[in-house]
Amino acid sequence: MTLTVQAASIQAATFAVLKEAFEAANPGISVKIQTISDDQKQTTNLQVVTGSNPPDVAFVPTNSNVYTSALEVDGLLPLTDVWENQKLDSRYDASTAAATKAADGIPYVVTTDNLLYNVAFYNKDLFEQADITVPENRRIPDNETLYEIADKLKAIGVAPVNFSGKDIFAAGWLIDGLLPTAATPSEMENYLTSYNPGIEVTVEYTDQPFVQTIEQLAEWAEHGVFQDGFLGQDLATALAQFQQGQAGIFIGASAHVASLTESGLSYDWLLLPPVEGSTTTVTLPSYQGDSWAVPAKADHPDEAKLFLEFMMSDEMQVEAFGGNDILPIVNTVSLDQLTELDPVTRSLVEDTVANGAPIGWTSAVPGAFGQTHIGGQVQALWSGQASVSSVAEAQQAELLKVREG
Amino acid sequence: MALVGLFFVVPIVQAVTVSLSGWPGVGPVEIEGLGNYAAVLASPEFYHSLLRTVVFAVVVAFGIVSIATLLAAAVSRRVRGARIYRVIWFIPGIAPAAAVAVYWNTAFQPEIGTVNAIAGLLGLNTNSALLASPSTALYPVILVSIWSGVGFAFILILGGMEQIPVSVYEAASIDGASPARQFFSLTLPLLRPILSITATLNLIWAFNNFTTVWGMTNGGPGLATTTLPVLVYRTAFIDGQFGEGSAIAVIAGAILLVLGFVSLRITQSRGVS
Amino acid sequence: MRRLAAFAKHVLLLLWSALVVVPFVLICLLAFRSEKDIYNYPLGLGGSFTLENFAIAWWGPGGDTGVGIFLANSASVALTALATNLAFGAPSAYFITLLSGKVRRRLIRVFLVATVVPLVLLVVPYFQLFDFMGGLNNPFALGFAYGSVALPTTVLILTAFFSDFPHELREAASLDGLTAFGTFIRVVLPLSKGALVGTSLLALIFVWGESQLAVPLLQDPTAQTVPVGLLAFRGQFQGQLGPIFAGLSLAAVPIIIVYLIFNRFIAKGIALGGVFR
Repeated sequence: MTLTVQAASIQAATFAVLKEAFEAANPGISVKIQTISDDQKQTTNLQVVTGSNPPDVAFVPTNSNVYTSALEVDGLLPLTDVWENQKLDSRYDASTAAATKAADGIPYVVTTDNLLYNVAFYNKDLFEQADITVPENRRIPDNETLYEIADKLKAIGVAPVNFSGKDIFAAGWLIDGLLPTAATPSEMENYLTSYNPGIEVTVEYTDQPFVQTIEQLAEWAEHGVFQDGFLGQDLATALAQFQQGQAGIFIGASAHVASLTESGLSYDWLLLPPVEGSTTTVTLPSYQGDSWAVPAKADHPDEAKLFLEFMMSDEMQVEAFGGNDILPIVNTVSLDQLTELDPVTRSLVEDTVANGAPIGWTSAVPGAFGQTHIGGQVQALWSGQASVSSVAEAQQAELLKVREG
Repeated sequence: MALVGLFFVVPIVQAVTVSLSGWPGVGPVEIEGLGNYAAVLASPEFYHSLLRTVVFAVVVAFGIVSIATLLAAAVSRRVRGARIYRVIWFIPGIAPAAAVAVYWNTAFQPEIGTVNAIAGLLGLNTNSALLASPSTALYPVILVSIWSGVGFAFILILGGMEQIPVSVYEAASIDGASPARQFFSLTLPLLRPILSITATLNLIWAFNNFTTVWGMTNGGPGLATTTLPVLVYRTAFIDGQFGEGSAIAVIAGAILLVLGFVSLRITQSRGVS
Repeated sequence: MRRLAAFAKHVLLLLWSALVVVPFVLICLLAFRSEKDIYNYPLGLGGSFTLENFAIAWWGPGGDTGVGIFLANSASVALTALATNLAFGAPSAYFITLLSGKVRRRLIRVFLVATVVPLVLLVVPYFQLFDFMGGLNNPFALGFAYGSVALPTTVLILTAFFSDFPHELREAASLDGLTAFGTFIRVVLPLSKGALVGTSLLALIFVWGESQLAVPLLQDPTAQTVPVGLLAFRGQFQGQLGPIFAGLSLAAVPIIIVYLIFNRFIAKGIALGGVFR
């Protein structure tokens, strides 16, 4: 029999490993990988997953509308058995386990990997050339230092911070880095969960923490921290420009380490400063939304569950997900087991061990409410079509809307 | 007719039904009333988007038809190399729009894009970022849409021009009419039906163009290039509000219909001798 | 004065040709460059020469599905679409022109209404229709749908052409004892090659480039068409322009060849049409 499995095109290598190992372990089952695009995983995949001929294993990011809507019509099978067999309740961190279950406490997906983002990769040579002292502890302490770095980079004729302003997810990255430095831990928890009507709203989006975060975004853009034309530039372009030494800093993710190292660039990483006046230590946001489900109408649900369990095994977590682009998510795999990890990725992971790596706001809340909504709003803000207060008000209005259902 | 029924009437009826509901994209559709229409008509985003779309469609259609007519007029008199031109000009129209949009987005980037590199060769500023500013982001999209649309319009119009018998021009020449005069008083009026339908079709296509706009700008920055199809896509597919998205599409369809008739009227009545 | 006009005309022709050709030359040149050089040398003149992009484009990033398969699928889709489109479009258009003025105008309006339907609106209903009828991942089913989607436009254009068709010929045919349908097949069609090829080309352009409907309808990589397949080369965390450009170059070749072949028919059809004026 043939098991059809969806995967994002970027994960082709990971899934090639999975396919081969799974077929070897389960004679008689052949795996067919169907790649889907980023646009699709947020949009029309809903119809595919809930249609009468869905894949056996579907790619359903938990922060997408596809996940939320598919649950509304009972389009996904409960995976309680998979979670039990693989002891996911304890092998996931508590926050991951909570975020991965539906509002009713039942798991409908397994999330397979961890991705660290909002990393400010910097070009070592350009920093030296521009006479920039690398901040201690990989953290740019405050805005003043950031502006100074940006000015020095511009003075030697390169772009300061390369950022993919065209991409709708990009503004969310910065917010995910800033918001925890503006909000208290309890406020942060409420921001992460209050889209759920069962949870009382204790902090609004028109309150100080969120407003301050948005203000910070506006201020960075005003101070010319980002490259010229960043609002029209997508991630691939921003990355390429950094790789060829035309930008001092690039805002990226752990997924970019492999291609950065491959390009032969001499680079390391930093974190952008917290919101003005905050003394909270900045942390790397993590994205844990690469999750897989079994559609209710799948032809081979049992084999599909077998595949999910296989993905979550320690062995596959190391072999398939322990590459340089994505990181294993379970806590039963130690850093030492990932022998092929790039030193840069290793240092990112070490930082998360020391300082933590909470799930980013746009990675946790539903996409239509978080990532895509705020992405458009902040673009409008940066291009002068919206103000800080209108962005905050729009977000609050969106919160009320999503809570109403 | 059955085909039109299957592939148009059924979907249209369904879209209208969905526009009256709060359908999240899956499951049964439950009609709730005109709430979505009220929401759309009360939203400033919709009017902003409508204005952009109309400007975009009219400029693109006008650009395509005028350039195509000029080119056809130039080639129809057996210019040297006409055969080659015919082939070359057709190329942009046949490249898959989604992939071409990827190229053009790169081309319009500051410093690293081809457009700016060429500007540099001409001694101009190389860091213009047209796509990044809400006031200019629509221009590159318009240019690319015209660029890819001229080829086919050219063929239609040229086909029409070559059907005009030579004797008509000979008579005019004998009467002493200059080529320019012949063009305006003979060619254009005789081409009226074809120009009219070419303009109307291009207006419709530009109005409904999603691929080029989405590929080049994703509708951004902010809402600067969010034309109605992009708004429909965002509302329905990304935000999961299929009811409101369908309502926008239905209203957009109605407006386009009016535009289409107006376009046919204007272009058909103009220059009737 | 006349010299000046002729000169201006040639400048215009060359300028437009350059505008049209340069991007394609660039796409082809850049397809031979590494990802880094594409950004380093936006004019394609510099950097090292590589065939890697073409390899990725042809066999696909995973090594199993690439432009090779996409082209075959696109061809199936295109042929089915053209057959559907012409088989239904041409007779409809012709018989509409024979109707009385009022009915004719009404019908044309119906088709005009159908042409204004935005594709975005059709995505979900089409998915459900295909899902229901088991036509997902089937290039032929998609071709049939494309042929129908393009039908209103085809009918509109052909009606415009057929309405110019000389009366005398039709009358002569009926005097010879031909039925209306016989006249259409034996007399009208052979004399309308230009128009038919023209509308087919239009349908072909649409089919060759359409991705919005096709993306959800063709999930299986082995069933995908060129535009759908090319788009998959671009992901959120990794952009690969090289393979897209290589794929674009490869995808443009067959359709240019088709155009070159049919270009003669267009010229011929138009010349024939002129005779009867």
